[in-house]
Amino acid sequence: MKIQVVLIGQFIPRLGFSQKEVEVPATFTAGDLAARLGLGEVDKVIAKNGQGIASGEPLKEGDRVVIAPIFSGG
Amino acid sequence: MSSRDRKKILVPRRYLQNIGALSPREQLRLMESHILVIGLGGLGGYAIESLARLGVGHITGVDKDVFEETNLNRQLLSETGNLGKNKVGAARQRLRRINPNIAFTAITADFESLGIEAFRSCRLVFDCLDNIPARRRLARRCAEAAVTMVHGAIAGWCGQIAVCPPKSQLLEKIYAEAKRPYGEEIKSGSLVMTAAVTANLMVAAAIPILLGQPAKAGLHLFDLRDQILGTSYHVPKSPWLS
Repeated sequence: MKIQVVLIGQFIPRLGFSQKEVEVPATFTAGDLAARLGLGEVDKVIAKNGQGIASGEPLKEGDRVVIAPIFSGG
Repeated sequence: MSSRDRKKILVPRRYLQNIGALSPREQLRLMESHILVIGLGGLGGYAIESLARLGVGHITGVDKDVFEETNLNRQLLSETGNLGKNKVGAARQRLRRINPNIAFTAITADFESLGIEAFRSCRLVFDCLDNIPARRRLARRCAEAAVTMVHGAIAGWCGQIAVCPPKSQLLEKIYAEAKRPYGEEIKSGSLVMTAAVTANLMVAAAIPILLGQPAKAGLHLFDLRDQILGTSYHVPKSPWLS
């Protein structure tokens, strides 16, 4: 299935893109996607279609997944 | 504006430029609203500025800290003349100058010293804190009080806002992988533009809820350089930073 991936902040220079469509197996979760991108072990926050999600959340065709580092400044 | 609104509600002149984007009835509803803002630093300073100018009728600001020199780069309420002074006092003075028609309740204390009624008495709570453990405690407090929390956080050019209804556990999801009390801001700092944009996105997210729309959980992450400015990343290598 095809997933739209959007990266934020330091993940952009790290992976070399800010937005990209990626093809992943239909059984992939958000955590699987992050691991495939090389962000499996990195502290991060994931949003799917505007909703904050846990890594175990399943994905479906056409989802827009945003992956960002942890932010807490005020 | 409907003719019904025009006939029945006289809008104070100071809010006339709100009308169009807001109806007179909606303006009145804002004037009857109460928001609790936790933290009056980078996010909280800009948030209360906009809430006051919009005409939100009652703002309670909570912060136990005083201004430090490192606040001057981004915190609207900080000035060279009020270093060492408490943030709540600066907020009170500024809001009085901007809009004396609203009520500002100033609380110089940790939010954890507030009773549950302080949370229940407001329509929304703004999370303008600066560390993850305190944010988690605030989210739990809001859930306990059954009040929606509007969350904001920044680091460098990036930020996030979230609407966290009491049963959503959204903040726990956002920080599920956070192993340290702070995030990326430890490395990338916090810029004034990011604080101003993020605080105002929090306000923008709050307005429909104040006007009666149901609070729907949502998380918006953004990167001002990439998504807003479309500029490429050139991160200079600093020899003294790893």
